[in-house]
Amino acid sequence: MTSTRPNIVLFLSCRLFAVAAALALGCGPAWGDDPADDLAGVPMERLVLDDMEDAGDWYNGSPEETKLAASDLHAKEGKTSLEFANQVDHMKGEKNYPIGWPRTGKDLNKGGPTDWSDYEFFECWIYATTSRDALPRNPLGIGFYHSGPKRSTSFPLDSVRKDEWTKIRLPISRIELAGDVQRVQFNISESNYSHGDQVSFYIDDVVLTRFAHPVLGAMRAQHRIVYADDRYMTAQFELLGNRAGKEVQVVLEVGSGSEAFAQTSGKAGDLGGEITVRIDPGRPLAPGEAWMKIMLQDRAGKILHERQATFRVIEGPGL
Amino acid sequence: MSRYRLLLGLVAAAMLISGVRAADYRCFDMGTDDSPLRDGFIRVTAKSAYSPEAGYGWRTLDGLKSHHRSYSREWEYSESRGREYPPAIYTNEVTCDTIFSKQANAFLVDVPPGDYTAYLFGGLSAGSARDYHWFDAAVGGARQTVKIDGPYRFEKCVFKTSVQQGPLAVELAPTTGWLATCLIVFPTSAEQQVRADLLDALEQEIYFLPPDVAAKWKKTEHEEPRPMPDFSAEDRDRGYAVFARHWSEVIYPNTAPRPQELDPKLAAFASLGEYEPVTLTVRPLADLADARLTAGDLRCGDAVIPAANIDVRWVRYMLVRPNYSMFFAYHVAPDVLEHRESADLKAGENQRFWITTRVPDDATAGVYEGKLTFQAKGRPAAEIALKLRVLPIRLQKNPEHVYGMYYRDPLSNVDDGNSPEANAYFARKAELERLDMVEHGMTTHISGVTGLDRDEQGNWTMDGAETERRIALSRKFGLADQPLVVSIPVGWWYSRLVDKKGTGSHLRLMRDDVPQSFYDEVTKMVEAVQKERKNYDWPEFLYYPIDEPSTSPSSVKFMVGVMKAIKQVPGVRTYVTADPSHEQFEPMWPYVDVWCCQPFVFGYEKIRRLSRERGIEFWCYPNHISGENDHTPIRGARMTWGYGFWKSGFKTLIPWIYQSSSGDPWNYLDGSSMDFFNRSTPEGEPIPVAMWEAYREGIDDGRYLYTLGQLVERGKKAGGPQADLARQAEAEIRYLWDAVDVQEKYKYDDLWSGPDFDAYRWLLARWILRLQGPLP
Repeated sequence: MTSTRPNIVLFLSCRLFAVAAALALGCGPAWGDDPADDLAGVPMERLVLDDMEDAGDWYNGSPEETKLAASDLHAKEGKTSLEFANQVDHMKGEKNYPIGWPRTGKDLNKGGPTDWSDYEFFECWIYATTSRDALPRNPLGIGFYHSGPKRSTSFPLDSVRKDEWTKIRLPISRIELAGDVQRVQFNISESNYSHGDQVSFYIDDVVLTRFAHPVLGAMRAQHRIVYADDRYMTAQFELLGNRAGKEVQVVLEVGSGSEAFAQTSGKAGDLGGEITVRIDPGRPLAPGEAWMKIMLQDRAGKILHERQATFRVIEGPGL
Repeated sequence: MSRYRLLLGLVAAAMLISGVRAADYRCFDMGTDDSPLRDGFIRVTAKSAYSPEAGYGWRTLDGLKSHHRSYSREWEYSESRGREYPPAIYTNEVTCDTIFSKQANAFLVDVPPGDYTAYLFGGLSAGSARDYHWFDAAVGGARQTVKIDGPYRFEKCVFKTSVQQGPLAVELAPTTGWLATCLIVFPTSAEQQVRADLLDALEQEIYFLPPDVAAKWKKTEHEEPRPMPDFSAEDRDRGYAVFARHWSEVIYPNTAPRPQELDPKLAAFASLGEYEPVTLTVRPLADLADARLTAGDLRCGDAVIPAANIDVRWVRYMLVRPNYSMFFAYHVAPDVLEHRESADLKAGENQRFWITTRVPDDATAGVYEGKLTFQAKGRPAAEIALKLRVLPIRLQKNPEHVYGMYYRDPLSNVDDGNSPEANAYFARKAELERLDMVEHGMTTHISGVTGLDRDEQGNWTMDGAETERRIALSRKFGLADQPLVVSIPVGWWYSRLVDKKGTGSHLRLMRDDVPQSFYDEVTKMVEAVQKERKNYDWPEFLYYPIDEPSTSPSSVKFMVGVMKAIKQVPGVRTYVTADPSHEQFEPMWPYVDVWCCQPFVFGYEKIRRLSRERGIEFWCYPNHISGENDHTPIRGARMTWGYGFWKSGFKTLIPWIYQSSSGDPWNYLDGSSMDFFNRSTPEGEPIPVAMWEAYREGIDDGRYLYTLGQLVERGKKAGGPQADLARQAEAEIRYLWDAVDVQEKYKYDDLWSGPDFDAYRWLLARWILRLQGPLP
């Protein structure tokens, strides 16, 4: 069955969010709390792009080397998944590119949602089998195609594993034109495989998701290491959740040990993803470890979510 | 009817009062008898002698020649590369043709007395990289010098003059030869109308894209996430605000300053002999005319770092593609760092300045203070404090690390068929670029051999004179002290001896049945080169036969054959640009001495182990922070060349390439790929880009690391309190090691902030100061 209208359900997020959030903010989670730990229970809304109970909407871009089918051999949800089976052939395929890119995709402009800007993640499950001992480093890729010639955003799907299900979660903020996604396409790059390799991917449960209420996707101290006489501390954060979340208040606290020595707050929608607090010039930072904490508060002052990051303070060059 | 006549009369009167007559501008399209003629332009050929009847023409027809080369908009398929490419440039009726000469001449235009503006465009739509056009154009008493190297570029001269009597004369005086593509003459008072009627459109076509092509390209605007701060009354009154952000963090025209960045005090630290950048940005709150930024001396007591050591450059925004090989998408990004006297600034568009101080080798240590002054016509000036702490440190470079560039040597354009001026230009460019590479920390560059020949009996010889000229110059600058990677023409000879279709790009056209006899020729080729190498006492050569072979079975088979053939010659080593982590390259391992790949593969431990066990080297060509980007991964570049390189275990960094140009080198949207990296002045002087400066800063990060590492080793051996200090410093080095989040390609994401890089460097610097004691 393919969805013909949005099918929004609540869904619990999973640990893979950590990678996605880090990607979205352009930072590693190493300096702040691991987002996955405290977001596991946050309700999420889903929009099903394709439940893969019918492979009819998926085109075969490389019929000489690829077979497509709805397969019950490996299904994550429902009865079937899309089987994208490839026989790597470095001599056949497209005339000018015999070592090419076998691919399958779905055009969304024939009824699927093309404006993804209200959602936070593209997700799917993938199971891989292969005649090789192991998949290559870059086994599979995905591309999101926009209107106009040669406009797309691509991601390598390096996390796909042989003989197990892998959850893919990509932040939509990383897609160049999230409001204009005309096509989704999976492809392999034959240059990553040896001639004669057989590799199949079972793709299932292709959805868009978003958090049902405001959360901090990721958070980091703008600077990991600061000078004791620095006067401004900035935290960068990613606010996820329902659009109405932009009306929440963001509070930043900075301190060391058990003492908070500076605090500021602002409306999330006004901050552009970062908040800065001024440190009292009469209170230089002590060398060592310090922390900053961000809290999301609703209009009633209730804390919806919080995160913390640490940074190091050193004596500076005295300028 | 009478109402109509009245209206016409009123219009005519108004025009007479303003001095503007609709048909008063004269447009001349220089070309051949049948080259395309732009609407509204007058055809001028090499036979268009001046006559009073015509009212325009050449003073003399002696020595005049014409050129015409139009390009279809159709993309052409390249068999070698297996894809289509757009034309070299997008010509129009004006730019497809030109009149040129090596003899002085003038183009005369009859005009009534008055004040006139003349736009002269000169350039050629085809030619060779060896071309160098140098001429003066003059109108009235004003003279402009034009220098153009290569084809596809059109320079513009604008003159304003008064004509009392006689024709307006555009004097053309060649040094090598002059080029006249089109001339537009109009009353100066009509400039607005002329701009609207034709000039703006023409310039868009020449320097941007013609409308039919532009329609296929989409511009993306940078979305600024931060709101604009409240500017102070003082800023609003004077018409601008000044703010500063770390040089490695990108500022777009609409980037909003953070409140704490306003009214900055610039500060940095540097060691002896180091170059150290800072930046500041002016945000015009109103249009500013004749804006300029000047630097004063830096002083520390009696010690002075003179203003001459402070290089002030303007950050120029360019229209860039997301990646050098992409089409149909572009956006505005900061890129080139130019020298300018002054410029007009538009309200609401940031202008960033890049200020680099060179600390003298013998500077006195201490905190130097000075100021930069920003001025604009009719506006209060702003003084911005600059503090530089000079550290008594002489940085050392790790001798195990090699820093290089792929490089198209201008010396290769020096030719007996050129004019002396052209040869002098290319020779000077070659010197200046080598000096620039050295000043940016480079110790080598990719080279090549020429002069190889094979007679019909199969005897190979090499005339090393031209190769020697290039290597001798590189030696002069210390760029040939290491083993030199030399490209040898295996592909060229393959097309002559095996298959005239050639190997194809990435060996995509490679046959499966290459005879052993060809590989034997490769061996003889290398023997000939080795013989000449001994004659000239050149450094060791690393032989580089093919660039980026594909992973196809026939490609790998060919590479094995070629590398094996090269290694038949005793003692020689091979270099290949291929990713050793690709299993398809397994058969090549026994024959490769230097693997050069784009990502930092395998990880530090494995790289070091493989290097040790197999006696091979791992180099990296990090093109993701040279051309394969939109010119903004500045922090990625610094990390790649500094801490990232350190934690990779690799031996050498050598990206492609010091300068890459396709079509007009100042139009990044034309041609088969985006131009990238350093540009050049008409005199051949390097114009840096922000990423080039980031390379140097990364190399300097590495120098701080190595210098401290050496002191740590010395301290540990000394024992006692010095050893204790050394161990504490070593712990900091380990802390820094752990702080580097390893990536195969450092580019945009998951990177430290700009100030973090400096703070980590300070961590190293203060330990150097503690461990080293006073300098001798």
